[in-house]
Amino acid sequence: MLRLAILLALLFALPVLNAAPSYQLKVLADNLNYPWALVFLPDGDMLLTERSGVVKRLAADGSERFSIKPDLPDLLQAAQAGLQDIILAPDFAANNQILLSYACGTLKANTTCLASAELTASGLDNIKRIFQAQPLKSGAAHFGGRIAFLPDNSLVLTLGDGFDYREQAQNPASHLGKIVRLNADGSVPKDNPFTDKADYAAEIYSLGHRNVQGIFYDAPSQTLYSHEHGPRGGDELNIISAGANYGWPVATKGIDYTGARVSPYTAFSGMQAPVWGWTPSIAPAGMTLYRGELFPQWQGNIFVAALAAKSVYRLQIEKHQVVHEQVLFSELKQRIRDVRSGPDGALYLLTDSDKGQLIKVTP
Amino acid sequence: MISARWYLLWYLLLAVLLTTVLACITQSGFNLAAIASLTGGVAAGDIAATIWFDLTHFSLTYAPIALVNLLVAAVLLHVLPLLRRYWLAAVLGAVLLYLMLLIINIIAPMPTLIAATRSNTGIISMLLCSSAGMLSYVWLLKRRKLYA
Repeated sequence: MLRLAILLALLFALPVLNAAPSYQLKVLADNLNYPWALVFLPDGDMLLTERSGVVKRLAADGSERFSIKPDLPDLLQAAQAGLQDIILAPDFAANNQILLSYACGTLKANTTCLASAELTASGLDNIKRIFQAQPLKSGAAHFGGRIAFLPDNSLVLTLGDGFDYREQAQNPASHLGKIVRLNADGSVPKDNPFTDKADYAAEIYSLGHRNVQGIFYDAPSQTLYSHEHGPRGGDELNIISAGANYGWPVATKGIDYTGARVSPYTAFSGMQAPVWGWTPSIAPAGMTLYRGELFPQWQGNIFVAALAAKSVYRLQIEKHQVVHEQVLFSELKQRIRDVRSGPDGALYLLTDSDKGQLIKVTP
Repeated sequence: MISARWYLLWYLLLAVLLTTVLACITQSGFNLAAIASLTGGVAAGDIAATIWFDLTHFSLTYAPIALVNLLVAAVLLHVLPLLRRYWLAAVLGAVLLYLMLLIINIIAPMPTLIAATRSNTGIISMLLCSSAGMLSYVWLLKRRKLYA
């Protein structure tokens, strides 16, 4: 009888233990034109990018301090192409340096570029292109474009496979379908994994990626996480190691949008398997790891913004494995482009549309 | 007694079936060749499994394309008797498919919808599948003496 009572008590308690903390959603800014990325400034302001090439500086309450269209060299704006990520350089406090990733070139010959700029009171100054992925390719799809800094102040930049060029993700001489590691000035770190190898592009940090649009480095666990879009199915969460091959297009759980099989293999010798995956696809966009204090239950969880799934996926991680997944914010019924953990402990969402919103999540 | 109209429809569907099967095998061949070039080869069992997968999955996408392609060609053949020669029918099927692929790639969000058509060799191979469908259609009609 006692055992039955304990069992019943546990059954009733389980939903409570697993329940998400209640939260409030507050729209800080709206009428954003396909917002892509968000970064927090030390003074509490935010910088926000729109795919159209606009950079906005917003106060903590969402009010606009400036909205500019910086003169990014050869910015390409078409379909998936445009201004993408924005990040503060590690020595931002000293020099106000920020970095921006964007699609550059023409519809027939384009790639992903990285620019540095100096943040001023009214906009950006001293804009310089510091990296251009090679080779140029045709079509406005799969640019990657997410940036993260590593503890040694080098950065990783994600580069897509260009959609039509997926086999290039396995070509070590090409930047397509790679994560590259650079210094903040665009130069190549001497300790990159392939700097001594002939026929390898020295910038490559990892290869075999399709379209990585979420990446962050978690200092406490010393882990670089990324996720990437699969085709139809086969979205992946990966732990990135220097020099590793993540399989695309040889090893994938996804198939072509037409239903054709991309590869007979879902795993392949010498290629890293994902730590988590989504089939059918959720179309993972931005990603963050929550280290705030407002939601103690979310401490150390990964949040993945999802475009197709119109929600955010909360992943509970233990020993580099996903042990629990929860779908959040599906009541918004909006494609979520980015999710960021704010310095105030709140979670921030960017919705993906021509009337996009910046939404703050608090308890 | 089955009327000539039913034979026209029946032969058209047979031609669509042939085109779709050939296109599925072609699609498998190009994707497998790309993977084999990266891995050093693909085992016979994996080749067979991939072809079967594409016959049961890719066919659902391709069959409507083949149907529209060959239906338009068949209608043109019906109204323009001059086209009822094997080589002209084959060219007609290929040209119409080429135009359809151009339109599909403009409408679809991705640069190239059908992976096999990313290369010129792949496009020509898929066009040949369409030509084979049209050849079979005209052959069936001529065999039944529906077309002179």
